Amino acid sequence: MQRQITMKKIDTLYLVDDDDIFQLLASEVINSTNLVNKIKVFSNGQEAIKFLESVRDEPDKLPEVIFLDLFMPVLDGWGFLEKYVQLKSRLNKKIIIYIVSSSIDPIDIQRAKSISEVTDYIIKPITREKFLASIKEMF
Amino acid sequence: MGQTYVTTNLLSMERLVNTVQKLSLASNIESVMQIVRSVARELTGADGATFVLRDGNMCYYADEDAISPLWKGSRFPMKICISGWVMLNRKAAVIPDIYKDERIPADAYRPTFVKSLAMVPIRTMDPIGAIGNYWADIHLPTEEEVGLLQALADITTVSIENINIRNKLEEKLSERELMLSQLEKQKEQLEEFTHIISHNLRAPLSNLLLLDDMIANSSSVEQKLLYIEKQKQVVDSLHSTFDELVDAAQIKKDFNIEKEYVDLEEGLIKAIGLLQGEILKSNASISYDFSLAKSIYYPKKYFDSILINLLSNSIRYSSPKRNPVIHIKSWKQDGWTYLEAEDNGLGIDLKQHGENIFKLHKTFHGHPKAKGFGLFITKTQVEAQGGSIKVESEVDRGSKFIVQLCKDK
Repeated sequence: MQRQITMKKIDTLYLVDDDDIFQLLASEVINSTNLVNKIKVFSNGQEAIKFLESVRDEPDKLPEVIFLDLFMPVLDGWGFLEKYVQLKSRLNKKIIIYIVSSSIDPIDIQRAKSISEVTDYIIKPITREKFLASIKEMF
Repeated sequence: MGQTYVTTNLLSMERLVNTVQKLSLASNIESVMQIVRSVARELTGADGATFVLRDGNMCYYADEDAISPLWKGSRFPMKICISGWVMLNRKAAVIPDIYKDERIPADAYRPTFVKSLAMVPIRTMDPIGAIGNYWADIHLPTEEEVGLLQALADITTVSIENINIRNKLEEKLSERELMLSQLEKQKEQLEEFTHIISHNLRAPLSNLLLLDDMIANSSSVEQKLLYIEKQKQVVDSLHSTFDELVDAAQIKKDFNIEKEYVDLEEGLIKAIGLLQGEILKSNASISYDFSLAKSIYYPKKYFDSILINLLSNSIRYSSPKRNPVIHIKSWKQDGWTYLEAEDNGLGIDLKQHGENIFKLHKTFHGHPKAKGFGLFITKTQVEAQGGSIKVESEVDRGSKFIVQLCKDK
């Protein structure tokens, strides 16, 4: 319990992923840690960008953390990051972005890590242990 | 006399220089022979000239230029032939009366006009052939004539060696190019394979792993049952992905799939029949023009599948603002038959999706029925037949798929 007290809680986390099973499982994993107040789910990059734009002046609606999948319809993770770079300076909050992907392709991993907006690359499945480990690094 | 000598000499030199120029442009042995045989005659004022190539232990009379036929196309053993003697001894032979020289097989010369000759080796160090000059009367070729002939032979040596080097280089280059394009193809296939493993198989697998973990850690039986139900869902989708991959692998393996003459119009009418429900519902109008290429020699199964995939895509991704208008046409270009399907639908942002458009399970419009299998399998089928597929598109204007189907035999 000591650990949880010293650890800062995340108010809002965005989950951007088109896989509905993953959405459900990741939400359960994250909720089970009691470290996140709200999880907001988007099915592709386009939905997430639109929402970010609409709440860009409302810090309580903006997330601390985004879990971003790479391969999604309409606007994929790469496309989201491109738009995010343009939007970033107008957002009223510092946001940490994690890529959460099933891709183990070194080309994808390399590319993700070369983008300065990306903090880390988490390979699915995102288990409780993996989630806790990344949250720990975050603060 | 001195004056004449100088003039002849100058004229001959000019001829030799011209020959060097001409030979430097020759790209194969045939054109070298053609240049050399006529110059050889002109240089010495002979009645005939031959171009002989060494072919193992034989002398091959490859080319000639003479007042009447000599031995063009014949082969003689080196030991009984004067060109053989020249090549074996690596020096010129000058024979003012052939019937008085024991190196000459008189019988071979009797049907010809030849009374005297001069023969020089090509590449003196290790002869690859010989150039012969022939006269119809008893004639003692001068030292100058033989010298000119030898000069011509030396020039010929250089140009033949150049051609050999050039041919070898070209051969190596085209081998390299072939290897490179094969490597490029293999690299592409490997990338495609990695992509499929990474995205199409690992994603459901990671869900299964997570579910497994959650089942193990959950204390409620009810919860466990719920997770097991989810697991079944994932297994089913993994199963259908596997089936799709097996289909694709089968196409890649099927080099010898049966081909037949497929009538494009018949094929389209059949495809329209199969898609009737969707066409009526969407109010689509379909037109076609196959006048420039009416039929193809192609696996019928693939052609039907390609057409159905292109048509149903055009209908599925039509714009809600207008009725779908689809035009299908065919034509020929550089021996290839092309098929094109153009629509006025939603279009695709190629800047964003261009590299993914033909990949497995990639969808672009968030359409509920989109599975991202049609274009993947279409590309696989088209490429298995040696063709290619590309797309031109503009968002909210429409898309145009251009299929390079097959090459004429």
